[in-house]
Amino acid sequence: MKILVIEHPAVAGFVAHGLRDHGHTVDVAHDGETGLRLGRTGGYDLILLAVVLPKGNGLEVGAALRRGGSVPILLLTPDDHEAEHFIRHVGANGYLVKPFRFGALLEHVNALDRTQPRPPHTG
Amino acid sequence: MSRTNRSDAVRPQGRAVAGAVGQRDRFERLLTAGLAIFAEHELQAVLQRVADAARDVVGARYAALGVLNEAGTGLAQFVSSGLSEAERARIGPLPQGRGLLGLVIRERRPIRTADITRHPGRYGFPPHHPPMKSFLGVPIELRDRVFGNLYLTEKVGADEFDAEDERIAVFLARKAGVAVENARLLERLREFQSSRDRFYAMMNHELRNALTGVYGWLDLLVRRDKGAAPPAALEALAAAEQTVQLLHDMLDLSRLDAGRVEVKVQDSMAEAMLAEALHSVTPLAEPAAVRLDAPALDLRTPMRTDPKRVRQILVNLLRNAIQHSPADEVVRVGFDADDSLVSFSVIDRGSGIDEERQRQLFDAYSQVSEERAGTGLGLTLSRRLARLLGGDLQVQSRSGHGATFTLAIPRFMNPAP
Repeated sequence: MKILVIEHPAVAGFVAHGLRDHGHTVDVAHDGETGLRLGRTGGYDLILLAVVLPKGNGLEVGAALRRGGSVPILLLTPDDHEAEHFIRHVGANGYLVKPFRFGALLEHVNALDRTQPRPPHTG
Repeated sequence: MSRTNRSDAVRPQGRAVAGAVGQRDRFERLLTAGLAIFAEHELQAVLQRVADAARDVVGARYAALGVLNEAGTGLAQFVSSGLSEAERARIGPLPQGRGLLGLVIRERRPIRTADITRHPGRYGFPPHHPPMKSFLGVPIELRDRVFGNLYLTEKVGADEFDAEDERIAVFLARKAGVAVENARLLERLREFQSSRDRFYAMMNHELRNALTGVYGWLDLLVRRDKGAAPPAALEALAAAEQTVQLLHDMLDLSRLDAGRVEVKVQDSMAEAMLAEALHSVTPLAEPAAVRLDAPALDLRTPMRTDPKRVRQILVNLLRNAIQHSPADEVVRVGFDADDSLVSFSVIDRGSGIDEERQRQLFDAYSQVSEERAGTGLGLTLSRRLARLLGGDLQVQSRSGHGATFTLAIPRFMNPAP
C-alpha cells in the first residue's frame, strides 16, 4: 500500500519505519499544510492522520482530504473524545488512541488494505 | 407596659413609632426575605430580591441597588424596585454615582436625608426621573471592600427614613455583599477550572505524542527480535506500558473530578465482560507465573451497564492481583449474580493489606505518601467508576493472608438522564 502519515515527528518515526518493514510505501508530513498538499496529489491508499496538528488542525485537513476523494483515513488521537468528535463532523475509517502498540496499528492498517484480496469472513 | 418594653428591646433607640405588632410584622418579613434571598443562586436574582425586600420591609416607594465592577470604574449590575419598565426606560442611562450615590460609596457610610434636592452632596436628577424627596443610601460592603450601594427613596407613611430603617438596609446590603463576593469567587473558580482543563488537554496531548514514540519504537524493536529481544528492551517496554497506564488513569481521574465521565449504558453479558478482561491480562500473568482460575463463563447473565467501564475495573483488579501474587500461585476469580446485583471477586494470595493501608487504598488524593509509591491509580479509579455505575468496590484482607476485591454493581442500570 502507499500510505501517507500526517503526524508529529515523535510518532511518525516509528510508524513509518514499521510500516516500511511490512512492505508498504510510506510518505511522512509533519504538519497539516504539507499533509494536505501531499494527500491531494500523492494517490495514496491510506492516510494516517493526527487529530491535533500544527499548521491546519487535523479536523480541517481531514475535511479537505475527504472532499478531495475517498481515500480511507485512520485517525491517531490523544483520546476517544477527540476521535468521536472528528468522526461525527468529518468521518473516518477508524482510530487509534495514543500511545498504541505497533501491532494494533498493523491490525487496523491491514483491515483497511484494499490492495489485498479480503478474506471472506470480513466480507 | 409590655408593648413598649418589647419595642425597646428590638430598637434600642426607643423611638416609639410603630407598635409591637408592626415590629413583629417587620421582623417576620425580614426573615422571609432573608430566606428568599438564600434560595436564589443567580447574582442578578439575588440582588433583585434584596432590593425588593428592602423596599418592602423598610417601607419605601422605590429601591435600587448598584454593584461596582471589580475595577471600581462603573456599575457591573444595577437593579431597581418600584419603577415600571417604562419608567426605567424613560430615565435612560444608569446612575453614574456623581451625587449622593457616589458619596455613599466614597464615604462608606449610610446617608439619610428628608429632601435629596436640598442635600449639599446632590448632583441632580436626569430628565424624566420621577420626583423623589426622602432618601436612605447604604454602602454594600464586606470586610474591607465596598461593592456598591443600596438605596431607598420616598418613605411610605412618613417624611423621612429613621434609624431602624437604616439598620434594616445595612443588614440587607450586607447580604448583597456576601452574594456578590460568592458570585465573584465562583466566577474565578470557573475560570480557573477551564484554564486547568485546557492545560491538562494540552499536556495530555504532548505527553502522549512523546510517549507514543518511546512505546512504539520499543514495541517495534521487541517485535522484530521476536523471542531474542534483549532484557533491557523488554524492561523498558514494560516501564513504558506502566507509564501509559498511569497516563490513562490520570486522565480518567481528572475527568471524573470534572464530572465529565459519561456512562454509556448498553445491553451486555456479565460473563463476556469478565472473559474479555481475563483475556487482556493473560499476557501479564504468564511472565509472572501466575495462574488465573475463573469459573466456566457461559453467557447467561444479561446486564445493562457500561461494559467498557466494567471491563476497565476488572482489568485493574486482575492486574493488581497478578502484581501482588507470589509466583506459581493462583489468582481466583469469582462471579455471582441475582436479579438485581452482579458481583465479581478477584482473590489473590499475596501478602495482604493491613487495615491502615486498606483505608488508603482507594484514595490516591488524601494519602500521597512514600508508602503509596508504586500502587498507581488503578484502585482509586476503579472505586470511583464502580460508584459511577451505581455500585461499589470493597476489599477484604488480613496481613499475610492475601486480599479479596469485590466489585458489586446493579445488574440493570437506568440509562443516564
